[in-house]
Amino acid sequence: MDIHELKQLLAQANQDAENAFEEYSKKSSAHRAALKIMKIEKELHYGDVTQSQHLKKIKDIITFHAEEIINENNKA
Amino acid sequence: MKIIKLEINNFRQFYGKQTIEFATGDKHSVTLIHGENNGGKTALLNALKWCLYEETTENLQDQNFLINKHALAKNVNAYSVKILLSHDNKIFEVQRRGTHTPRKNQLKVFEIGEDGCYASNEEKNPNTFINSILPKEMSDYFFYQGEGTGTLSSQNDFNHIKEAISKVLGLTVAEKTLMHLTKIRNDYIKELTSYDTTNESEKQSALKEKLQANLELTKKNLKLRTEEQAIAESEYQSSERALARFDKSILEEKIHTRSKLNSALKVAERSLIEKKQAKLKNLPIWLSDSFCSRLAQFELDKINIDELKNSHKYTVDKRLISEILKNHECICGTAVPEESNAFKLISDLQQAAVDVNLKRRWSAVTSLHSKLVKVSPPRDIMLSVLDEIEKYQDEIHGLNKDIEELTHTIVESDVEDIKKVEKQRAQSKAKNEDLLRQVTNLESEVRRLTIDLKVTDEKLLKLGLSQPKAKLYQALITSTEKISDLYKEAIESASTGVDLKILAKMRELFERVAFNGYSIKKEQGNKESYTWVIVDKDGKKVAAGNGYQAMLAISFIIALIQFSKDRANAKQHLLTPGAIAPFIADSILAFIGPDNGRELVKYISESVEQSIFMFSQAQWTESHTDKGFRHKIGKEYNLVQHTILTEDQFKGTYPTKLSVLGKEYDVVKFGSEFDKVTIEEVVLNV
Repeated sequence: MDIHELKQLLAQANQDAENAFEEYSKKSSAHRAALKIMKIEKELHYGDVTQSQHLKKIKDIITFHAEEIINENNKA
Repeated sequence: MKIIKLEINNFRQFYGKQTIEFATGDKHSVTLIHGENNGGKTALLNALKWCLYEETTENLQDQNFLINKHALAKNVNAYSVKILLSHDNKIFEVQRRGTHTPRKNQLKVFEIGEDGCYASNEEKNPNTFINSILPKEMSDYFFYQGEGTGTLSSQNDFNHIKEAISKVLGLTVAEKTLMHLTKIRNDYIKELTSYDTTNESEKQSALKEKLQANLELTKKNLKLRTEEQAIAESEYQSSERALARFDKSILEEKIHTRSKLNSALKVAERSLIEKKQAKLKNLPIWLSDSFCSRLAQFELDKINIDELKNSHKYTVDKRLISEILKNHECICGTAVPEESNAFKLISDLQQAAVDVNLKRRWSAVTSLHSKLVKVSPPRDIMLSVLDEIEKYQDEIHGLNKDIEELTHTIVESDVEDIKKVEKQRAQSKAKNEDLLRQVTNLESEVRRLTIDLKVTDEKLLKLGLSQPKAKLYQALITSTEKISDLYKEAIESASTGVDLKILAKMRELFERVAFNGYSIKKEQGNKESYTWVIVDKDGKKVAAGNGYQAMLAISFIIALIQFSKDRANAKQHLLTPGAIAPFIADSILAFIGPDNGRELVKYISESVEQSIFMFSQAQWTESHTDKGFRHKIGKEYNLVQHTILTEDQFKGTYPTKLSVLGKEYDVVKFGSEFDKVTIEEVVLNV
């Protein structure tokens, strides 16, 4: 199997994964915030970022989404 | 993820730049690499592991010396590994370059375009990128080292199972995130109290913090005690089992039984001697009686006694008459010529003459016969004695066997051991009961603290809402809690029933390769802990040897890999997703027999997307192993050892030639300028 065939095979799986990701982030603001937090947590865990910036970044994400989350929560 | 190509440069035994292209097709997904001891198999596995995670396996000797020694001697200070891999419809090159002095290395990841050149700048977060493809925690299962101590030793131990499942579910990062969110929430609560003029919030916050700390501590204790209790229970059960073997009363009973059997043996031996002596003593009598009985069976009527009957009237000596007639002379000296009347008369007299001894002999015969008839035949007595001898011999044999078995059991059951096991059982029982009490108390404590915490939270919420300035922080607290709930939910839903899913997959493999009806069962320790055990076709636990234990461990790893693959497209984005990655196995059949090995490689090659097997000829044979996966092999390599030794000086115990599909290849090349290993392709027609 050459690289092109391999790429074709992987294309569908990639698309499915992206769709699922989109679908998840559309669920609520809390979901969107949770996804963003996960991204930076992974970077921290696998050694690409340092601890000092880390909690501040998470707080920024929460602050950014707080109003939406509260509104959605009140509606529910 | 599929590994397309590996390029190593001055890494361990591999001098200069060398490459391996791996089989990536669906039909031919297996790459087979042959290599003998010190031939570079483990070095290849470590090249992959080091390049991706900057880690090496435990069994790699001299782990800080990754550079090729010959290259270093030539003043080369750098070594590197490049991996070309496919992931998410893209091709990437992962490269790690290291220097020996100073000891450092650098990781870079590039996407490769269709033209084969770098498509973009290097990835900003290469470690995160690699770990998003195959997390480091999971790589222990995909990179299998059969001769090492890490992955094989205790796969069916509860803590190991739990840890492995947690790694495959990607709980590590999610649990850390939850911890960070809790810390952030507590920070917000502190801020909230600063806007509270009544100090009530401060009081409640302090109480909440205390409750939270207590709850965390209690939970931690509960977890610890639960694990300790599982171990104590397992120890108690094992000492129970041991004691059953060494039960004192059973042992005493056995000693008593043996003594009774010994007495019975003595009696039987005495009786046997008596019977044998009786047999010896009576044998001449039995022989004589037997002969007499035989003679008595002769019927006298069948004897012709006409001569005797005729002789009753005269007592004329038959022998004397014959003499007279023969010599023509009477006993008185008178001649008796043939023509004379006397000769004629004497001849007539011969008709009635009789043997004088015949009558006496006949009388003796009839008298003897009447006596013989009265003798009883000895057959029944003889048979009865012989039967008794045989009976005693059988009895003695049986008794000796029983005594021998009992003696063996008694010898094995050392009384001192019993005392020790009894003490252990008492200790482990007490410990187990104590821990169970502690676990129950801690569980109630957790429940109580959770309720208290909820009440305090509600109070805080009310207070927060009454202070306008505190509203913002209250909103942040609520948002943080909402996000935390998503993580908690993700962890809980992902963990439910995973053990049973993995067990089902393990069974499928194990039953296929074990042959003898053995399977795997989940054995519950207490309500929290469990372990995998090998059971026979009736579901009874069996004490299986190293080979079966290795198969159990491998089936667990393959089940984890399959489970990871199932999760690759799971819509659970807050956890590390599962991974599709190659299974790379160095010496996977180290403890496994040839037939089980053949089935094992067959199963793996058919169920894993891409597999790379590395074998020495002690584990790979054309007659067995190869038959399991030959149809799946797309690429095959031979690791050739070049040695400065001559063939005579070479003292290697492994083969120096390799035969694949009728063609022979060198495994060792002699008289090299320096020691090295080269990777040579075994060309296949696939």
